[in-house]
Amino acid sequence: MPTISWCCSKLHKYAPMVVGAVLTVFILASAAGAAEHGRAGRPLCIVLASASSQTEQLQQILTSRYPASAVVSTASMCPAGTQLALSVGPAALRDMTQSAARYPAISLFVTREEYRKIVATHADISAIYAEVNPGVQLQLVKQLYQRPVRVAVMLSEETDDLRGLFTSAAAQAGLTLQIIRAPPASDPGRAVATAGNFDALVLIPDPSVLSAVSFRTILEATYRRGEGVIGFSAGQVGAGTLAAPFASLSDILAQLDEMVSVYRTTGELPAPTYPRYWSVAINESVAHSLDLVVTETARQMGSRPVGANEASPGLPSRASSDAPRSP
Amino acid sequence: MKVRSPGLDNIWIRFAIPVVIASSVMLVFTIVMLSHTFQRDANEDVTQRGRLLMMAVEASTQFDVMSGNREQLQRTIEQAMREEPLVAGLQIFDEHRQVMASVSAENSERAVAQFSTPIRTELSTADLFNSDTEPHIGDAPPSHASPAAGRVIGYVEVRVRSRPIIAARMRGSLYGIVLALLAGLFSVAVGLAVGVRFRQQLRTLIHALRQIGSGDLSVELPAKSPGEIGAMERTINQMARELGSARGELEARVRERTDELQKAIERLGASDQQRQRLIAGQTAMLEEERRRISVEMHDHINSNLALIQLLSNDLQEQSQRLVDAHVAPVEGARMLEAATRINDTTQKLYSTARGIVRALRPESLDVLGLPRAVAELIHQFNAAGGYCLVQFTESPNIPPLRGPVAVTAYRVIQEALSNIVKHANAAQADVSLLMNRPANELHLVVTDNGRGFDTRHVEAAGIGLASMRERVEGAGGYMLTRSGNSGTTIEVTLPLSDAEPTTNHR
Repeated sequence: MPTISWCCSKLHKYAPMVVGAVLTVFILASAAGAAEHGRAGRPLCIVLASASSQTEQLQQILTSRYPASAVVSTASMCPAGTQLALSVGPAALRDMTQSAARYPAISLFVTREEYRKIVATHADISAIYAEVNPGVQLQLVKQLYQRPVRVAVMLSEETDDLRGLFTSAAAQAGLTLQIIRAPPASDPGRAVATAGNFDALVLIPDPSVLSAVSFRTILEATYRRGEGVIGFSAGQVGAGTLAAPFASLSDILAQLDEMVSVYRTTGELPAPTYPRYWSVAINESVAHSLDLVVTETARQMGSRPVGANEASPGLPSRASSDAPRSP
Repeated sequence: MKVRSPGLDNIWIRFAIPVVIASSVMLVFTIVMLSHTFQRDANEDVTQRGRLLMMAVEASTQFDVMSGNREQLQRTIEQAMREEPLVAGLQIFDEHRQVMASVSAENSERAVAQFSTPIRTELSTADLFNSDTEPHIGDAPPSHASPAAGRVIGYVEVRVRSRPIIAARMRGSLYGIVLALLAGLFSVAVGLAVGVRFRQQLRTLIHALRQIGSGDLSVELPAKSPGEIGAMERTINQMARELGSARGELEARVRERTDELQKAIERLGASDQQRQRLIAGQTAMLEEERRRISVEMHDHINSNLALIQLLSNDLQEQSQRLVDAHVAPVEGARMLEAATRINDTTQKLYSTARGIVRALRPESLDVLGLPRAVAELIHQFNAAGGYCLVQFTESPNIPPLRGPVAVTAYRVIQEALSNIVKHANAAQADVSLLMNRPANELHLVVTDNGRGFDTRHVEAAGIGLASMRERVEGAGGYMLTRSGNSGTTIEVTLPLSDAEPTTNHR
């Protein structure tokens, strides 16, 4: 048995060193586990106030992305010790503001106008708006027309605070801005038709202006006069607008990851913001009708997170889901 | 018997009639159908175009009604009025049935139909981020729901008239009738042209067949026509060629047979001539032998008999003197009786010999010539006191023939009179002797009023007529025999040669 005796002699010789290494590893692992436990101990609570199929799909995506999170239908049902709540949609945001339980929260998939109306004075609720920055829309106009053009935007009383933003963005893009005042209780299409000459009309989310009826009349009014319409979602491009910058689901979730990380690191919520990542969708047929030559630069406009082409948890690859769509 | 109209035999007309009838029926049918469907189609057209116009106006005025653009609405419906002459009136109402735009036709034609439909807004299915409950996602999948009809924002009312439709339909119907008429005329023309062409082809075929029927087998049709006509032309060409070939063979065979027959006829003719020459020779020899015998009998027997008679006369005279002288009365009487009997017997022998000589060779022919010899023959015939009376007629220019022709003529008359006596039981007979100077022919005719006979049998059975014919043909003439209930006629024509003697050489 020489082999056994050789092993015993070696073990006896290096035993103090092995024990020291094992202890070191244990201490480091315990420290890391404690840190992780500290974050896990402050779990996320996902509030889904509506029960549509779209909401169910979002729930699956978010729970696969944040496995330790709780999913509730109202904010009052969030477990104790909830570190951060994610409100999905306007109904959830409204529930968050009306609930007695107060958690730091990030509102997702609501427009700037909705957030402004619902949240009001709740300073502990941040948001990633559903629509992209209006300045991006003006940049898209500039890329599509490739010349200084006159761009119009219809502002209602609720969205009139965007006047300054549009003015500065237009000046920055070298465009001439025309503000159309949305007439109260009147057809926006008629207002557009009588608004004088411009080259493109930028739409922004505004329920007081845009409806299923007025959207068609606005499109008819602009296309009768050879004017392009810049929307704010990919679906609107399919419905007939010239183009639209939009933040996809993966764009929003990527930015959400970043905000959650910042919050967990710093313990502070970032300010409400427009989506950082976005893409554009262009209706090539409408562009052809308006005698516009769509450049590849226009098609490739956007801002995408690092590693966007890699599959994110709960989402298909970006290549197939977030590529700019051209109806 | 089936009676047919002569005109229907013309194939061109037979072609034309069904074509014209079919075209006329088609034309009448077309007109009836057009008139039958005219009003119904016009009403359907008015309805369809009215509804279509109503929908077009509803779609094109939706935005202007919603935006309250009355000027544009008026322009739109006025343009629709100009574009569509069917419109009698067009009105656009708002949602409260207040008129927003209206236009009517200037003429006062009454509208036959009115169509009205509400103008509705169409709802977009695009996500406009205006739901206050659902999350807003920039790349949410588009809704596949059809655009829903929105609220009623107005009404469109279209009144249509039918006169433009009827006028257009009328023009269409007229065009249809004219086209049908033209098509019918074209069909008739084509049918007639086909008939004419077919008739020409048939005429060519019939002409070719007639040529073939008349024996002209040089027919060669072009055989370029398609179908049955071409096949018929080729068949006729083939038939003409085959008939020509067959006729050539037949003609060659006929020529061959004709040559053979000609040779046979020539051989037969030669044989007949030889036979005639033989008969003529035999007859001549016979007549010569008869003449020689008669001359011998006349010159020797008759002269000796005359001498015997002179001697017997002398013996009678001497015996008579002996009796008268009573020298030897008994012996004288016996000698007288014997001399008398010798004289009588000699006289009888002389008479018999003269008859034989006359039968062998009519002496009168040599002495008197043919006409007088025939006259004497007839005189002797009548003098014999028979039942039949014979008359003789002769032309005055007949020479006194004495040669073979005269003998033949004399023998024929002699045999004919003998037959009349033996078989005819005639009461009267006529013998004519005529001379045809231009032809240098002797023509004799023997007729009787007897009972006649069947020429088909008598000539074959009896040798009288046959020997007469042989004698005539041997002399180079010919004999015709006619017989019936009223009598018999024998006509003989004998050619005269220049060598025929007219004088007595004896």
